[in-house]
Amino acid sequence: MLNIGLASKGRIQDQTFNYLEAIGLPVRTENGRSYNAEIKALPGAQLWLLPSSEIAKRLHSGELHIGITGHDLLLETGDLVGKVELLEPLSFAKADLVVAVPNSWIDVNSIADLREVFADIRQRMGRAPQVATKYSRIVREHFLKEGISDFRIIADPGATEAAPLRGIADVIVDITTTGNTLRANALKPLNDVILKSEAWLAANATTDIWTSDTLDVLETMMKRIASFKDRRTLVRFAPEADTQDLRIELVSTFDDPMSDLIFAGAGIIYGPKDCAFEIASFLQDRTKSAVSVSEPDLIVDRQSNAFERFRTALSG
Amino acid sequence: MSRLFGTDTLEQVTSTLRSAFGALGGERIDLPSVQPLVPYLEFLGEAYRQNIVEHGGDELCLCPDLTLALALQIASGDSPIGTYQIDDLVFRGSRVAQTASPVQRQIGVEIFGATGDANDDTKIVLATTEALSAAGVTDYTLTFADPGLVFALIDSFDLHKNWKTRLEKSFSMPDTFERDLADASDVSEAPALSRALASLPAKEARDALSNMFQTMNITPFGARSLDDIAERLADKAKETERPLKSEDAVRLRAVCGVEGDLHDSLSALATIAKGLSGEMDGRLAYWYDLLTSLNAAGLDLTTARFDANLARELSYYDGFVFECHAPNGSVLGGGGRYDGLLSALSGGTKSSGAVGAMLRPDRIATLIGGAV
Repeated sequence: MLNIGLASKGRIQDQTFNYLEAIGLPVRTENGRSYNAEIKALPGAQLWLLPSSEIAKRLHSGELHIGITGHDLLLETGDLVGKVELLEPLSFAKADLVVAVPNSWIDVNSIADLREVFADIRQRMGRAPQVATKYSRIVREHFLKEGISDFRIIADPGATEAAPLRGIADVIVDITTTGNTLRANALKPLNDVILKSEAWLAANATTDIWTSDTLDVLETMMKRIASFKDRRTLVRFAPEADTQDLRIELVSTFDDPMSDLIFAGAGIIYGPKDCAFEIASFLQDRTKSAVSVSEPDLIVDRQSNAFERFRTALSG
Repeated sequence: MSRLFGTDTLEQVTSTLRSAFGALGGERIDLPSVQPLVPYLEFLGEAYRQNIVEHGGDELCLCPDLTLALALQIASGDSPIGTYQIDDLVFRGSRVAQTASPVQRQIGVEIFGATGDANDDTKIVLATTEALSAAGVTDYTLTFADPGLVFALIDSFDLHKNWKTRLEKSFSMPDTFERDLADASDVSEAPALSRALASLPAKEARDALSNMFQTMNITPFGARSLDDIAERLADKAKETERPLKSEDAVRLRAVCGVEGDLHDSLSALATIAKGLSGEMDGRLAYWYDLLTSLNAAGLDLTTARFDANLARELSYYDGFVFECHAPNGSVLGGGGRYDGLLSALSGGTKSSGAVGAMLRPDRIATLIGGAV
């Protein structure tokens, strides 16, 4: 059984369920609120509805094979290297992890400024500067990397964003989307964002928890994600044109976005939607005949590159 | 059997090291393994947050550094300034190394109240090398360094105090130090507000900022007052007027890059320091004294090395430092001077010259056990 962790409540649960429904893997729950849930299209999977932070912990420990949770929570739980593989970013639950300082600190805009001001607080006040945050692991790593080692973390201050006004911390590190809560508490974010977080499909990367059966279920799931994500344009052009020459020229002309072209047969290319016009005008120019562009609902013969990378990582 | 043999070796090494360091006098002090967490966080930084124990509302940690533990005890007045024999465990967890034990025993000596000249430093180096040879270690390399040289060099520059402070603080963090060197060399123009405030007398600058805050509906709170903010803004403009000169950046990089034979390295340092003011000369004169007295005591320094980057991560060393390396590169022990530590820990109420050294009996036993 492939153990899948999904959010048990809140907005992230709605977004997760909507997403899974969109890729054709709707989640059914018994009478809506129950913690018993299943995905009919994935009979080899067992769903676990859990708080997002618990999903992160169990992905690290290997109790879950895969799960959908925030990047911030995954990093806060521990080092990802060799333990947790980020498979696909899902473009929801987006938020920035930022350092926020009192709005009167108009001289402090970067982490380099913060370092100087921290040194000054230490010297004048005879104490370490205090940072209120629920993300102590990420903050510690990030600050040390930026050359800030002299500070104290106030780990569980209650309402983090109110800590500076309440006088129990000098600055905070927290997740923000609109910045409204920061403003309401007379804080402003620094320009350097620590982490641009979003929901990810992530997997435990320890080889011994994976079997060929669980990998098969994951592959099914990720092919659906790839097909959904990879909405492509279908470009039809003169079927008698020399596809091989055109392919070489297209790839060298457009470089990066074109590395992902699919040549599906005589006169048919699937390409990234954003590049539809460029591809079409290029082909029109070369073949001197009409080119048509349309949008297929789904292309299902795609393999999932992310899954192939993961499979390689597990075996290596 | 082999295990029994190993234990015997370890015990022999342990008693040898204790008596070698014991020759310097001082009482054996028992340092508690469980220490208050906060001073370690505040002094060594958040990197040392590990093995935390909560007890009656206090955050405690397993002692990660014996020098700091002793300095804390002296700073708090629990022990007087003096010489102390050390034999205790330190606990250093690592997320990377899974084979190394998180617990290590260290035996050594710490002299608080050390003389400012090379006298006590000589004694410390000799006690360490004698302990090694008494334990049967003959094949090892002595490597020296001196963060104090870097501080003296920075101090001799015509450079705004903000840059000096930044460079001195970041010396123990090589990546940040590189960034600071670049920032201090390649300054961009300060923002208009900074320049405007810098051009005004302090009081007018403060009033201008106060008016601005009223218009913006901002009220300063917390650790930084309106004055602090006004002062730093003006300071930011002033620091751009005295950046790091390119020839000084070259000197600083050169001093940080000195590595090789000890005598050659000291000649190289003397060449770099040529034409600079007194402080560097003072440091080099100290090194001349140290080498002279080590030679006079019969210590063979022909294979000794200098490596400016040695012990750069241990932020409390501020003078000479040394390490003893086994042929396979493992560190058998070392020590150095930390004159500023006691003052920093006691908030300036106590201060004293200080020098110390520690050896690792487990590694020494492995080394000589392996050789037998």
